[in-house]
Amino acid sequence: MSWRLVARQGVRESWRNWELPGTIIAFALIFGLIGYWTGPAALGSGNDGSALFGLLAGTMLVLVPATAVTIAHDDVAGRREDGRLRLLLGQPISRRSIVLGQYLATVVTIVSAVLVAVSTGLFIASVRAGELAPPEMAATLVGAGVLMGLSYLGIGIAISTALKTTNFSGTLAFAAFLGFTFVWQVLPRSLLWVVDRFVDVPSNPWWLVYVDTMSPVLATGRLIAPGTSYEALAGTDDVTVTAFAGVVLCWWIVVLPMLALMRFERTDL
Amino acid sequence: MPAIELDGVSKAFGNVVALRDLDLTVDSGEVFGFLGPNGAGKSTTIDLLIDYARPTHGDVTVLGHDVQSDPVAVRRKTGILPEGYRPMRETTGREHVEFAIEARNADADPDAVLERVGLAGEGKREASGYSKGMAQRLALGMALVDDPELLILDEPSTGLDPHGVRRMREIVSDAADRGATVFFSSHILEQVEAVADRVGILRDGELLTVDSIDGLRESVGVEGQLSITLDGLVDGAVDAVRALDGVTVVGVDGSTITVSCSDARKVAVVDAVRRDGATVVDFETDESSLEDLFVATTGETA
Repeated sequence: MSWRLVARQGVRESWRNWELPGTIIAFALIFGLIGYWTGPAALGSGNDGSALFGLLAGTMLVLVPATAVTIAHDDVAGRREDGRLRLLLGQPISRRSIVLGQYLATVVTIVSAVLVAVSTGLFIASVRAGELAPPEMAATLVGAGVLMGLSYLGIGIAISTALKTTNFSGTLAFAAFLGFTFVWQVLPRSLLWVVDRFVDVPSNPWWLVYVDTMSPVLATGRLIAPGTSYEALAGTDDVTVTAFAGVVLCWWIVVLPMLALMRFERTDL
Repeated sequence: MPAIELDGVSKAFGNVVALRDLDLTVDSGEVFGFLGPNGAGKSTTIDLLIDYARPTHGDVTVLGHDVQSDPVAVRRKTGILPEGYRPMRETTGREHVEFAIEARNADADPDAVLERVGLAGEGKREASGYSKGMAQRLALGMALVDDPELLILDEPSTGLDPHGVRRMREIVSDAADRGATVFFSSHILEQVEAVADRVGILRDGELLTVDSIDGLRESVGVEGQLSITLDGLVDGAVDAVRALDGVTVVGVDGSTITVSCSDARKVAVVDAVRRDGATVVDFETDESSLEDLFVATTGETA
């Protein structure tokens, strides 16, 4: 169970270097401000809170992935680059335990930040509006935040595990963040438009929704949204697409880090 | 059972060959010094022993375990002082030792470990603020937790002051006394000479020789010096010494004759002087040092 030891050490380091409390405080401040300014209009006067949800979800859609890759890209590559990994691996700890432990330490940061942020934002909004935010909204936001956070942590950890220096891992992680969070929303359609000789076709091909769903952000929305009444997450009623979204998230959260780990276990420090 | 076995091990980094067909066996309970000029492949060899790097060809077995297939089993029984490490961030020296104790599931007192390596009273400080020598002591302390069967030390004296070097030597001797195997690389040849049962000399990724230091002296044939002080200079004594094979008179100072010869010829020199009727008042020998042997073997200084 040496992964627990590594995870505990990781949490201790992130607490003492202010990564963990800093992330929590920053998330809580941003979500708190959104709740403060939009809460009365979004929840009061019989409104269902969709506007508040859209703003919080939109903020989360950028904030969580950016924070997750920033934290995770350095986790293994940074330790490998500066020699801390050589000290850790001098103990009877496997490389697998190191990666798993570091992954879990970053999960603690992201999940704590999401929980505190959503609680703070909805609490302040509810107090300001004099109306309690629907529990479904809180559950959806937390679920979406955690799934997106885990996906981007998986991407970040995989990059960090596969590369030897933080220069490369940082660049690639940032590119992954930009690509999957923003570019992926428009790239498949743009390519299709070019292939179709710049003519808008009346309906999209059947596979486009699957290509879209390969982005962790869209996959999260499609997995979470069918159970909710919120359209801000671009949900779908298509069960196949929802199942595909589950597979995609499983790929980013579990399979990709495992593939990177398998490579890491065979390479020199 | 050998503690360490390297069988036909080669390691290449791209086009650069760091080790070529290395065969080496270190017996259990042995103190083995690993020498070689910079870039000879010492650290690469150590990295292979602890699975920090993987061989391109060959097998590495440590304490009966194949290092590639079961590195954790090797590290459970091995204390490792690696090269090029850095302490964990935001973590005190004591917490480093506690980490090692927990990783090894050992029952050890962190303060006692810190005291053993000369860091008593420094345990509450963040280790990232330690000097290089203190960090080296800390890493050694982590390696010593639970009295491992094998100690692998890569340049253990790096950054240490003379007290630290002496303490390091004592620790190696203590480990040997309790039956542990010690495998270490070092540039401080006096230290290797003081504690090693055998040494291996590596150059350009090839193991040139493995022997005890006495065995090396014999096989390499590097000459030492012998100074004999007589009760009065007898001209015949100098001529008698000059007549001996393999002996060179390098100086005559009053009643003292200094000769250069192999260790094996020194008794013959004394016998020749006495046969000539001279009385030996005093004599002093200066053995070929490990540095001399190293230079003779590798053609380079350490």
